[in-house]
Amino acid sequence: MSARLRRSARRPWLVGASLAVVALVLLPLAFLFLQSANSGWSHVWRLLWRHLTLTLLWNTVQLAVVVTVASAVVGTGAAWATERTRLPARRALAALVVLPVAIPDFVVASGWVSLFPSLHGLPGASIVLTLGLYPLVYLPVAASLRSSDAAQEEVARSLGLGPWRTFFRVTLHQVRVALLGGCLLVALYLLAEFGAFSILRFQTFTTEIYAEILVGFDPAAGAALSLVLVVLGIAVLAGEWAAGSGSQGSRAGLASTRPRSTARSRLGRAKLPLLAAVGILVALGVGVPVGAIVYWLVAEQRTTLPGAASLASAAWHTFSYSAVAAALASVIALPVAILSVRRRSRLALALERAGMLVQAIPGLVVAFALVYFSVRYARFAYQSAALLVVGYSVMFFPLALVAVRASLARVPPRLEEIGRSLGLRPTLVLVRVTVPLVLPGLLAGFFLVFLTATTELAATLLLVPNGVQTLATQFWADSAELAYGAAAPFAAVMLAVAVVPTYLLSRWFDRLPSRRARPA
Amino acid sequence: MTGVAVSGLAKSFGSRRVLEHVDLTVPDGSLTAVLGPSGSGKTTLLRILAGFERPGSGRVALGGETVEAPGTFVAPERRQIGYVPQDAALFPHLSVSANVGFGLARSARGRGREDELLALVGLDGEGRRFPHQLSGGQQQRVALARALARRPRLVLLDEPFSSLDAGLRADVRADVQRVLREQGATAVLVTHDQDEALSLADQVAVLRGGRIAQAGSPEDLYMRPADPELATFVGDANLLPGTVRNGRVATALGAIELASGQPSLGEGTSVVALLRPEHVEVTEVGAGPRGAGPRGSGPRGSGVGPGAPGAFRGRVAESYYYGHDAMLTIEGVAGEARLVVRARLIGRVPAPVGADVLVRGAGPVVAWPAQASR
Repeated sequence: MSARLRRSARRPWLVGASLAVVALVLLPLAFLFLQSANSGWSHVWRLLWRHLTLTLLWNTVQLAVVVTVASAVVGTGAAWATERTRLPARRALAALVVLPVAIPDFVVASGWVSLFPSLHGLPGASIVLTLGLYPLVYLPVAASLRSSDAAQEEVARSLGLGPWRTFFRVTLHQVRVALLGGCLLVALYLLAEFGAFSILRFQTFTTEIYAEILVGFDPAAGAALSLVLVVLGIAVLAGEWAAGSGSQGSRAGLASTRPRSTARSRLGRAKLPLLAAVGILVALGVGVPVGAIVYWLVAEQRTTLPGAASLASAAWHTFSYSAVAAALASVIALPVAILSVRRRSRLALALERAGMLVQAIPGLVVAFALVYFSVRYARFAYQSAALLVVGYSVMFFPLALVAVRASLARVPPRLEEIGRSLGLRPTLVLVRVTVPLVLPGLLAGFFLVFLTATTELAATLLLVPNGVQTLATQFWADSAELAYGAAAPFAAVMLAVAVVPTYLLSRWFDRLPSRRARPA
Repeated sequence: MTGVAVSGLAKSFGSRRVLEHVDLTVPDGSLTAVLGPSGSGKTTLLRILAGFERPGSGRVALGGETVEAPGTFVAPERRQIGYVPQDAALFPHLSVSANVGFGLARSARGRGREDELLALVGLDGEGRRFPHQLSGGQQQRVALARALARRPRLVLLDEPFSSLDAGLRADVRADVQRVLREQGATAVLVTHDQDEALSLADQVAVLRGGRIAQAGSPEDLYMRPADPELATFVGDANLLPGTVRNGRVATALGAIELASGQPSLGEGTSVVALLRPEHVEVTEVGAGPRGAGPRGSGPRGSGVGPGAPGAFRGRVAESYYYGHDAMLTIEGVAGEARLVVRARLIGRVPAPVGADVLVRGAGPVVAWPAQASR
């Protein structure tokens, strides 16, 4: 204990920077409490003790359970099919299967509703969101399958287990942590989703909070409902931490470099049905929304196509806000990541957990907090681009943290020790050893945040400077008037931009030992 | 001058006490091997020398400068050490040259020092490659070159050969020894491999139970271990009960001469004597009266005759032939007790399993009073 204290005391800037970052990131949470305290807790209680709250709660929990379970089954199944079988065209399918994560859910919802106008409520929301969110399970589970040794499965088969029992007793166990992490992402994403629910006329906390703020102008009610939503999110996080905390650290360290067994199941008669299943998944998840956009572009081309100028302006604003926010988020994630990976002290763990808590705060709530915070305490920042960028960075800080942290965990501490034994001060070791080695993680964090921010809708609607449109808000405005032809180009640009980072990200999940051959 | 002086070093991780009380002196310019089983705390000792860990108590001085003492701590980067870890731990984002030159001042980089060091470790012209393009042995050589680049006053090697396969290991080992000698570097090598420790080091220190059980030259350690346990830890050993008679030890394998230079043992003292397997003489006497052996009967080889005084008659229970030598396990009864003797035969075809043999000990032996050794 004393050694640990001494060590962190030697790097006060690291602790200080991490504290500042976590404080910034938790600002929205603090604001919710401040707002509720101001309006009086008895008033908050009255606002929550309504039939409406119960309806929202029931809707939200129902949907969360259905979609999380469905995504877990679909995502794990697809991961097994592309990673552990000799499925024909599996490389192409693996690339296609992750694409829905790049398509904003409000675009997916619009596509489905334009095809099937009667689709709404719980069934509609379940179908649309499962098709949009299962890649959040697929990506980590596929990466985990790729990194775990298939020899274990071969041994299980040699010990007399059939393929199904091998899957349930060995494979599923290997990917447990990844699966759990994926499910957590899906559940948190659902709590925060706004656009798709609004389009599908499914009433949840987010749609109601949005209405309270923008239509009812009732910040007290907005804050009260937000509190419930945040508590739900924290419950999800706590469940995941309780279930998976023991096993998370064990995958850290350098991956083994010895060749792994890459045996794949031959499938036999199951080949065609499985191929059909994955094909249908791709058709529904990618084909429907992309098809809808293409149809809108082609069918309504002459009537309502927007001017090139408005498209360029929306694209420019989207990219610049997202890029600056992504850079900011990655940079502020670095000290927290270093502290949590390298100094396993109680303070470090607490700071990391506190930082991850933002995941439980939906973007809409972050934006709401920032709006009221700026109106009350920092008028100059209200409706500024800077506030939007800070909002994105806060919301997506956990994404950057996860990416940087994972990358750092793969850098053996020994490399930093060697740096010091060769005469470098800790700060120089940081610059010359740590940062270059976590560069992939910083880049992954950047793309992850950038990608997510370009398609963010709820917070953007609240925070975007007056008179400015981003791709998401313009699509939203046009599709609300059913002007799908006008909306389509904005969706198309979002999609085009999203594809590259998605590809890079899925590569990053792939990349196990850092083998970056450079031109010598 | 002393290269390294360690005194009273203690270290615990939580409630687990890893180092109890370590005293160790490493002469300047020598190679000292710290030998211990895995988990004995030898890596912890090395990490304390490097400054990566802080001990609970104790002092460390490098080249006369105190770097670790109550109230004193010199950071690793200011200790002028070179560290070669088990897995080489080259910086994956840097070329071989950049790895070697990593610790040099900016102005000193790229001025030929890197090439000089690469030539020293036998890797001329490989400077532009990247670590992942090198074999395990090459990586270890680069790690050594990197450690030597700043002319450290102490080189620390943490099981640097254990991740290499057997054939490569001997080569890399020899090269490392040569390079360290040429540079006149003081070095501490940590290993669990006794052959490595004995063949490479000027001094071997055995770490046991958080203390240095014995430190001395390889010959000392092998021929005059401080206690029976050390005798079995370093090398193969027969521990024979016996009694001191006329300056010799009377054992089941005959009366064996006592080695000089050990504490005198009184006449009639019960002792435990260390007899190395290569000091056991074996004579095959055929399959004996009870069964027909494949080799017929009669004495063979250059051992003692069947009637030699004090010879012990046993039967071969295991026989392993390695080419350069062979190892026999011989079982028999001495008095009421069952006795198992291991014998190493050099340059002879070993007796087969089941053969009857006569066994005799050849001295000199080291002995300890019996009660001190359980």
